[in-house]
Amino acid sequence: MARENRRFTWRLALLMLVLALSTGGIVVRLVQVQILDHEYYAQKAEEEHLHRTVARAPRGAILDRNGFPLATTVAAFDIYIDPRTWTDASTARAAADTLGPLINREPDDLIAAALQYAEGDYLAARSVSAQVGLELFELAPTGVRLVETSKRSYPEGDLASTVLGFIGRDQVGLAGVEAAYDLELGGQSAEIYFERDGLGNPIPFGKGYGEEPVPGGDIRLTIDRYLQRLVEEKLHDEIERHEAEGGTIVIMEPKTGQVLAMTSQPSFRLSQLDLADEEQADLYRPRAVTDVYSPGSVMKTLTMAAGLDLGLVTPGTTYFDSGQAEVPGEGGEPIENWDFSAHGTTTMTELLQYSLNTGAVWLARLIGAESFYEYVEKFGFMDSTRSGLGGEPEGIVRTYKDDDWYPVDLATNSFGQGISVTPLHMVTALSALVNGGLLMQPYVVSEVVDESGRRTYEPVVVRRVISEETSSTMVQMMNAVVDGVPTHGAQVPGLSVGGKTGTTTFENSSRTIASFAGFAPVEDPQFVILITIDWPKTDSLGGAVAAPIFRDLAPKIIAYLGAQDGDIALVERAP
Amino acid sequence: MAILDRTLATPASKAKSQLRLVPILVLACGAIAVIGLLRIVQTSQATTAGFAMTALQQEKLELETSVTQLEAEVATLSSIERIEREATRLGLEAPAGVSYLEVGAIWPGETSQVLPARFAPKEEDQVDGSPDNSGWWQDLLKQLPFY
Repeated sequence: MARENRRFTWRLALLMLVLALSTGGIVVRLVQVQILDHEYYAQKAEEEHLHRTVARAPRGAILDRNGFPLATTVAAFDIYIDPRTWTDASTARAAADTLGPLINREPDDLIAAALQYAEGDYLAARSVSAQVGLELFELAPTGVRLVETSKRSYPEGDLASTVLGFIGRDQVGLAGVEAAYDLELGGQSAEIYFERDGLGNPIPFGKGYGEEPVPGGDIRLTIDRYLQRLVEEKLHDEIERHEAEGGTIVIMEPKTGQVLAMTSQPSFRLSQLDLADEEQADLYRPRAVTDVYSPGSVMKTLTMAAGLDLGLVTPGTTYFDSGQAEVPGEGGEPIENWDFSAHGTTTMTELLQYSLNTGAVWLARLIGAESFYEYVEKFGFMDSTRSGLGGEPEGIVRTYKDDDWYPVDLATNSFGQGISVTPLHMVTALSALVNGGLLMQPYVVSEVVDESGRRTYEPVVVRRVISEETSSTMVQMMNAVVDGVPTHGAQVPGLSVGGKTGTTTFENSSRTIASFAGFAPVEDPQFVILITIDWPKTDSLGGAVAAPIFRDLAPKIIAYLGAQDGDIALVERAP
Repeated sequence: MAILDRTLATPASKAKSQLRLVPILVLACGAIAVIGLLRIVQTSQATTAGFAMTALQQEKLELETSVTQLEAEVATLSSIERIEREATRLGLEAPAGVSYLEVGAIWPGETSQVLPARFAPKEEDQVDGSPDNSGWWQDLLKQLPFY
């Protein structure tokens, strides 16, 4: 009997087999989990305990040329509600009554919205001010969580809106300097991991790693806030006065290419920015940089400079103005002067003073198509200006090398029709006319200061366009255009100035662009300004619309720039 | 005999060893209690420090927020618009017109500017230490009436 009990039965064998297989399975699984897939499960466990958060780098400020902030970053808070803590009606009511008025929301709406939100925390308000945030820290309503964020603040209001641009909700620059210098301004965000408890709070002395975010750098512009405000207000007033569609004013320091002020209308207001409004999208671009126009008679100054520089004419050289200029081989209408006048024997200076189309055509033919377009290229119209702002186009110029070019193009291009450039192109070329003949690269950012140090942008000479002598002659001739014509609208009492009017016309349309390009003082040009008024209704001519704007602005600009120099000199010379 | 001695000695040594064991156990318990207490104190301190850290982080955040808020306020107060508003409030206004006067005088250059005599340094006799190198014939020439 006892022997039978010790017998190795099939049942026992089966049981042992099952046990052995089970044990073996467990062992195999343990080997797989703890040895083979160790990394994977270790990571999963870490993810469960560690919380990942992104620490945003504070965005740098944008300053004007004197260091006054035009755009800064201020602290703000996103307000979240944890719906699980608002299940008790009285608690939710008390918290909503505290929170609602501070974020301009009805308490009932807040409770309903939060309790409907099943997953995670409910975002009750985005980017509320620091003041509200600090108040909520004090009041600490139940279930309300504040997450630190930031938002842009504009101490000068809507000043230079198209130049500055704006950022999106993700703190990335979307337009203007904000977009063009996003890398410098944005800094580097950092991912931070920390061990958290069951409630999601960081465990003191728990495991944690990550780097500190690198703050964004500050950018100093070449724009002067005083001049910017001056031209913005003036442009706004003049557009209203002339019932115009829009306009542009650009002021440049001719010796360096620094843009001192740049404004265009229509544009947007930083204080009323609404990215959801598609109608606003057309207002974001800095039109002085992105939009092309035909410069009209302002172009005659460049044609004249080319003729002088080639030694083909002098200010006293004459041609006979019959009032019409035939364009050979075209069979079309002859080109006439803007006022249908004829002046007989006319000097080159008078050509500019009376803004004679026939003279420009005569001169362009004398120069020849090849040389004329060489100068157009040298003045930078075939390329973008590379000012550093986005969306800069090249000029639209048909040359004799193009299949669709005709001799009439040379004729019309000589007085600024059939050729399109941006206002920035034009003011840069005009700067070369008066600064001794050097084409400077325009720029709006003069300095970047960040963690790595200070980076300064120096003036860049692109090329010599005309000789110093030609430049000096052009300054005198453009002075004669304004001060030499007794009734010229751009004359400034007590100040010798130079300039040229322009009126861009459009085929089969009464629309014009009235413009004036000027500089002052003649002895040593401190600034070049280009003014364009798009489709003025009260008058159509540059001399009547744009030149008086120069007359009003020039003395203020000179007084301001002069005052600055005086102050600096006084400090330097004090004993 | 030896066996007998061993038999007789056993209860006494047992009692002795029991006597020695008690203080050891007491000491061990005490040590465990002290270690436990230290551990509790340490954990308590860590928790307290954790709360303090959270509070300090909150305070830091609030202070940083205040700083940026104040910086923005300073920037806004120094804006041109505000300066103009304050100037207007104080009764100042922009000049209505500018008159230019043409003066028929030459602008004084730096070199031609002369200080009033009372401010100018007193002229002193120039002392020239260098020997007179003129020759006898030059001295003779100087004596001539038309020289």
